[in-house]
Amino acid sequence: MSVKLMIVDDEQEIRDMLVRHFQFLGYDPIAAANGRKALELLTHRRVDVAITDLLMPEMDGIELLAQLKRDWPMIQVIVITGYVSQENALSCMRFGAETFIFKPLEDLAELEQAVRRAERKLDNWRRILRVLRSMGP
Amino acid sequence: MRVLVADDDRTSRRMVERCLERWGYDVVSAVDGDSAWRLLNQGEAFHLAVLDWIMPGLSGVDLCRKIRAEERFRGLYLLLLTGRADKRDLAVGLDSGADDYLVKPFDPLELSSRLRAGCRVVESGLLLKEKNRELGRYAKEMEALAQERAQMLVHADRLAALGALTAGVAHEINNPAAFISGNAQTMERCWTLIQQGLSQLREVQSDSREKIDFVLAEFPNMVRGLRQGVRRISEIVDGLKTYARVSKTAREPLSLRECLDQALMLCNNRLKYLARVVKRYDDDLPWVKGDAQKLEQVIVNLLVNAADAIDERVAPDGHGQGELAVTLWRDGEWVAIAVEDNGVGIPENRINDIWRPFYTTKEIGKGTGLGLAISQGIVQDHDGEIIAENRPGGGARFVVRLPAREEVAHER
Repeated sequence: MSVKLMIVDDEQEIRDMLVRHFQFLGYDPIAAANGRKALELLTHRRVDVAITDLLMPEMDGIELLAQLKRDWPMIQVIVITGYVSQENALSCMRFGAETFIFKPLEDLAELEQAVRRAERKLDNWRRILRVLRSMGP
Repeated sequence: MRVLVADDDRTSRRMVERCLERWGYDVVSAVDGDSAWRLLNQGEAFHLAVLDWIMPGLSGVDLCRKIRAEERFRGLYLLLLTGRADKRDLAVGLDSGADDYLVKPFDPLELSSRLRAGCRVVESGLLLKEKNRELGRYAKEMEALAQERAQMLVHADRLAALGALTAGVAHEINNPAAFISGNAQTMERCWTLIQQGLSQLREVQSDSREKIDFVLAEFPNMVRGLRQGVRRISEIVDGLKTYARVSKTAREPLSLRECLDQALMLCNNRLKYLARVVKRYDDDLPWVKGDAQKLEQVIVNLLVNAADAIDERVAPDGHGQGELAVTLWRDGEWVAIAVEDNGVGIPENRINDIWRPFYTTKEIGKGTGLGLAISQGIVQDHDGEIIAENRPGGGARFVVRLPAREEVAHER
């Protein structure tokens, strides 16, 4: 699959589980333990869709989301969290997260659908950019 | 006033008797000290005793000493009659426990006023005793009140602590629940592949066929077990969140009739083969103010509990029919809902425990033990009350009372 996934969660078990799950589905995800590590990875790896937790040490999910939207606006962000508050949800919406999914992720299909939605959105933008490029300056 | 007169001298005794009767006393006489003692110890209590000093057998002074030695004669007023006028005799008489002293021959007027003085003492003693009893009662009431208050404070304290904890607990539990559930779901997806591989292996390795068959049959159950476990954990976490009332309660005018019908509809599947549902709603009920969804949750909780109780009693032997009555009526300033069943009822000695979080009599996995705790919280949030009792004929009865809001009718 061409879309590049990044999974950001401070809990290794969750990271491993999601990496495994998406590997099984044919993706080749990379993983980071917090927002700062995720940004470091981005300097040398391409990422299309990021799945991120909210409460993390060093840099939390909201901060990561804000930085991604500023510096890598093409990256689609899916937020997963076990700490559901209205404030968090609104922040995610404000910073343009694709969606907001509650742990314990009792149905991973919800997450898969969100990834596919993000993929379609990116495909659409890529198509538009290709058309623009072919039209020349 | 009941007076005991003890005098061995007939003339003197008669005189005292007649005087006392004329003054309105209730008089009983004794011919000597021993019979006086017997009379004191039987029947109704005396308020005063007029005792002659010198009598055969027990003397007046002996009687005084005996009487004062007994706690039960504490309020008895003792007047000693004697011909001895010496100061030292007076001291002996009073020291033996007499309250007053009259020298024979006495003037009836003096006897009368001394008896009146005695009556005043007796009356104030009786009053004091009554006041003491009252005080004791008040003290007991205050003690009970203080205890109740302390219990409420402890409960409130626990609630506050629980509220602060739950948000953190929810997060901490959701993470491990997520990776258990997630891994189980990935395993589920892998299953088709594993199944194919195992089926092929089964054909080649005939000696492990039994084991392979076992895995083929049981693996999906193991994964299902994992996912069910996670679902239960999530339910408990959700319940805790509701219990700690993270969300605010709405205050909308609402009709309990609709709430009840909605709840009954939600529980229809659970109830339809289990019990005959009887609805009795009063017409023209006042509105209440609150959160329809939360009140519905309370009623659903009560209905589910009733269903479980009926299930436990009626279903196993198949005898009898489940009965569930839902009543809605106006109860003074309140609107009241009653949910009654003919199930197993509440263990009488645990009737106060049912409101405690995590208390449950249901089988493991069937209830979280939070339903009633949450319901009580919601009802109290609505300034209402919820009570539980066992019905005389068996089964339980829960009553929810919510304040009637007359003003709403005008607002609308």
